[in-house]
Amino acid sequence: MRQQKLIYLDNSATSYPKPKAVLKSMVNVLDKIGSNPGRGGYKMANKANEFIYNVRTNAARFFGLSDASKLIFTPGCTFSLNMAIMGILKKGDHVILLNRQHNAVTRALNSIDKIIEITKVNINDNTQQNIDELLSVAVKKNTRAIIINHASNVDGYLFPLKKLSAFARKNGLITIVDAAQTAGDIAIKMDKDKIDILCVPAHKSLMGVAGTGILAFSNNIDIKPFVFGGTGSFSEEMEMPTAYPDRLESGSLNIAGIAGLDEGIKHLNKTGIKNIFNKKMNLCNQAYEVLSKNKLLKIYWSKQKSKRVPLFSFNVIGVDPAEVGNQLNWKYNIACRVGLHCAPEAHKEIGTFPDGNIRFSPGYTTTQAEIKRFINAVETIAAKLVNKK
Amino acid sequence: MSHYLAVFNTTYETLRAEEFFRNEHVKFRPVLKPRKIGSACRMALRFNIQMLISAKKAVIAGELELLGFYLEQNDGWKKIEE
Repeated sequence: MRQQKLIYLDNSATSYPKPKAVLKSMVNVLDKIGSNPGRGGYKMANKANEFIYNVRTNAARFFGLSDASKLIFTPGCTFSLNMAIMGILKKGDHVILLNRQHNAVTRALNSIDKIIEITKVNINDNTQQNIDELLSVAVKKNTRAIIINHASNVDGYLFPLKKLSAFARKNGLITIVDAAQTAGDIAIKMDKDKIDILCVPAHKSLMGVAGTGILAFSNNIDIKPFVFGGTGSFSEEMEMPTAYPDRLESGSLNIAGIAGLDEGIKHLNKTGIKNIFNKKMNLCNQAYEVLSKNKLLKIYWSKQKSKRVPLFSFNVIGVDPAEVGNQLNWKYNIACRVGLHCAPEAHKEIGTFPDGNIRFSPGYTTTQAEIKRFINAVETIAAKLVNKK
Repeated sequence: MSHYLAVFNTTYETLRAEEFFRNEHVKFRPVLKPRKIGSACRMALRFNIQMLISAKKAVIAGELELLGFYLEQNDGWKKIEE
């Protein structure tokens, strides 16, 4: 049987394909700049320094951060979240943890849950109370931070970030925001949105590559180093430097990944975040319109349109999602992620734990024809598997 | 001819300083910080002594994290300004 053309619908895991300019810029920086930023004084090293400086200031502007020295390049969003959690929280602190969290947060907190207190607060389609009422009862004298997943990687539920961060600012709490599923899809402006700490991956909607991320924080925040080592500054001292970004950037930077991130942001600025978001949302709506009417399927997406990002998940009722994923893969060459998506808490909330479900996340280059083929494949597989039972 | 060195706390800050030096028309050259001032792995901006007032203006305009201005002398470098 002739293999059908791949339809990639796993952009929530990582965006694919990357813009050609992203790949080209990565090769170019290794080829033309090549040296290690912050580690030498020769002309070639200065070029690398200037390059990193420019990317840092451009990225800070993109996220509405006034002081670019507080934008740290990291190996990814998980790393950024760990740096934030470990660098902010101390023994005796209390944290308010919003629901639908990824393991990047829950496992990090679990590792220190004997020394900190955690109160979980749920917000979902059924939430009647306003944000202030809901959070006020959770605040204690020792509450230090609120951790927010801007949007769920399981069902695309979008949390009311501006309201949450406004509450936090009013109550002197630090907001730690996991923007893994929104950075590059929704405009985030840290200063305006009152976000204290923002954690971002480069390789999802920012169109960069895995192994690169951002930890950005406002001027009122001081984050203790999580990794220690060379910074190319104050080398004679045993302590880490106190000035940022050096304080949090030990070791050689991933200059190729950072080049990809820079080009990804340029791509977003050129194409327009809203245009990209709308295109992906239209593709989701196209699939949702048909699949939500199919009685053999259950779709997991907010009932309120304003609380959706362009991804949702589904199950064929009564069928192992792994079987559906296998058939999509082998019979139709459609790539969707199946399972718990590293977010078991989210699956417990929507009732799909421990089996998980199948996630649908189109990208900017996905076409309507591909969505049509996806819909047809899902409906055919569902009919066959349900009949087989 | 004698020179001043402007030393900042990070590479990031040194590069930010370059922008403000340019704005104030300070002609400078990025050089390795001399060992006598501290470890030599960081950069500093070297400029002509006539440009000191403009360099100070640049530091104020950029609210730069200056570790110090250093004057080149026969026996080394003397810190002249906080």
